[in-house]
This record gives sequence, C-alpha cells and structure tokens, in this order.
Amino acid sequence: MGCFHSKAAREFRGHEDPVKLASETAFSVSEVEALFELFKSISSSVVDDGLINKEEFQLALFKSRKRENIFANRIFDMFDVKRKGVIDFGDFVRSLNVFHPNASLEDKIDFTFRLYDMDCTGYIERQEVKQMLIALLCESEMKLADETIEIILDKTFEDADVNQDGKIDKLEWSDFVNKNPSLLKIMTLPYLRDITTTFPSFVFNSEVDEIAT
Amino acid sequence: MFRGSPAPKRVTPQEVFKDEWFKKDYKPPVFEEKDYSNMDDVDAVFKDSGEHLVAEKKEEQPAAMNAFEIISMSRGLNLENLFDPKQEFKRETRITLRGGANEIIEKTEEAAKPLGFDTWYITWLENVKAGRKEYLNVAKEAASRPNDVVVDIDAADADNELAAAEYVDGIFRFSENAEVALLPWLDNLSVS
Repeated sequence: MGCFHSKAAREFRGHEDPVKLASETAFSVSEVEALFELFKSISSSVVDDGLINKEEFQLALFKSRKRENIFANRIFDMFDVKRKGVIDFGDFVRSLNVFHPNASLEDKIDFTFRLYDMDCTGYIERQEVKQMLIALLCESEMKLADETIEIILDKTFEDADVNQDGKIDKLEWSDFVNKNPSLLKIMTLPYLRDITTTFPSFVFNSEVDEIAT
Repeated sequence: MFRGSPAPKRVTPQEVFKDEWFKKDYKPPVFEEKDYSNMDDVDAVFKDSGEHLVAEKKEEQPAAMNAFEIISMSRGLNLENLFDPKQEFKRETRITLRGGANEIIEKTEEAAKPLGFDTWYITWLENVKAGRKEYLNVAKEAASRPNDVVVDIDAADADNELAAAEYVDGIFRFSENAEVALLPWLDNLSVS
C-alpha cells in the first residue's frame, strides 16, 4: 500500500530503519516503533534535534536537567556508542537491547563490567569501587564512617578478587555476579516487554511485521 | 488375679508398627533432610586454614552488603525511570538517612504506626531495641495491600548504621513489590 510505506518512511526519516534494528535486537518491529515514541519525547525535551544529549538524558532520568551523576554519565557514555556526545535512535535501541529480559546473561554481565570499569582499564580497581561507593553515599546523603567504607571494600574484594591482585578482572567479575545475581537487577527492565502498550505507536505496522518475519 | 501367670507384657511400639492393623492405610512420614554435610563452619573453628571461612548468609542476599549492591542503588543506574513519564509513585526508591541508626528507627516508628504497620513492624523494632540478633521473617499484613510479600530482615544491632540502611532498603524493595506508595512515610524520613 503506497500510503502506508510513505507514512512509515516519513516517520523515520533521518533515523535508522526499524526493520533493520528489529532484526539485530530482541525487539520486534512494533517494539522498535514504540521505542521511537519514547526516543522522540526524550530527544526533543531540550533541543528538538532528534538526538539525546546529556542534559536530555539527565532530564529523563532525574526529572532535572542539572543533575550530575557519575553513574548516569557512565550509562550515557556507554549508550553513546559512536562517541559523538549524543545518542541517536540506533544507539538507543541497541543499548536498551541489553536490558531486555530476553537478552543474554553474558551480555548483561559484560555491560556491568564495562560500566564499573570507569577508567576503561579492563579491570575494576579498588580505587574505582571506592570512588563509586562514595559517590553513592553522597547521592543518598548517607553517612558511613571511613572505617566502615574500608570494611565494605575489604569484604567486597575478598569475595570478588580471587587472585587478590587488588583488582577485579572480567572472569572474576563473571564468577562474582553468578554468586550474587541481585547485582544484575539493574540490567533488566521489565518495562521493555510491554513497551508497545506503554508507548503506542501510531504507525500501523502489522504489514511490516509480516514482512520482517 | 494375675498371680501365677506371666505378667501381661505391654506391646512395644516396634511391635505395633509391625502389626497389620497399624500398617493398614499407613503412610510412613517422609522427612526431607537437607544435606547439611557442609562442615565448613565447623572446620573454620577447628582448623586454622582460611579456606573454610564461611560468610554469614541471608536468605536472599549473600553476606553483608557488598559495595556493588550499594552502588546499584543509584538513581543513575535505574533506567526504569526513563519509561515513567509521570513518575508518580515509582519515582523515588532512594532515601536520605539523616542521623544515627537509633534516630532513624525512632522516626520510622513514628511514621509507620498510623500506616497500620503495627504488628509485624513494631515487633521488629522491639527486637532491634532489645538487641536480639534474630533472623526475623516479616510478613506483610494483607488487609489493605494487594500483594503478600515476605521480607527477610536481619535484626542486627540497633547501633549498626549498615543494618539500618539495609533495613530501609528492604522496606523499599518491599514497597516496590507491593506497589504501595510509602511516600508519606518517606517524607518523614527526609526523602531526596
């Protein structure tokens, strides 16, 4: 149907093709289209340019434009796959893919490893963990004695740093997460399963789905 | 009356079990014995080797909170907030703890009573105050809540900051599950 195709084309002009994105991720075409609705609302909130910048990301996450947070920054950087300082629709979908309930455990573990390896050395060092811990305490305005912080770090590294070299490598991390599955809780967004109901897309896509399968 | 004849012997339990009458329709109880053959804790005491050190285990969470569990609590790592445009009661699961553990507990007690947390909650608090290190299973009252949730809380020292933090975190996970906005309660604790 000529009408349908041109409407769909218009909708996604300038952005990656939903069919292609669906084929490369756990999302169906309708789900990608629903994600597009979400993407549109986030990416137009400060600058209407079809891209999510840092401010817009912060706004979406914290409902505040000026909220600086090292973890959100890290997530933003990881979503900004092409290192352009902005997240485009393709980046958005591919990055969220890891958070899908059906994404592999391995991918989720890999993501968290890279997440916490803030300085990208290939290891999660004790100093990094201390920095993150302090940042969290600051964020929650929680107070813990320095001694307590050291005890927490000691305990964590005792458990995770098997070869006791002061840092956690990929393999150690993998084992650690398998023993502590709650650490992956942040890596699954059940919302992604019902995305088409939360963000109904106004592009009729039943025909597209049939073609895609 | 029984002089001269052998005193009637009482039947022994074993004999009863063997008797046909007893066996009829009898299903012997099956006790599922968990395999507690892990001797690590015993070894830890009697052997000096570090290998047998055992971490105290909670039902759901291993050992005391590790750094990453704490770090995971950051709002910056909870992307579900991206999906909630209105963010009504899903908005905030972080709280600000001000003051020492005892103060927190007192404030929580004040705030919680009117919400009907009475029975199970106050019991927990009383145990904490009594310094009882018991592993309490806290059952939620189903009355005004739609879901039944069981929260495992380790009633540690009342002075233990970490324990208070963990407890409150437990309340949060609990509130998430029960889909109950405990926000008014949070406000009393200085929500951030």
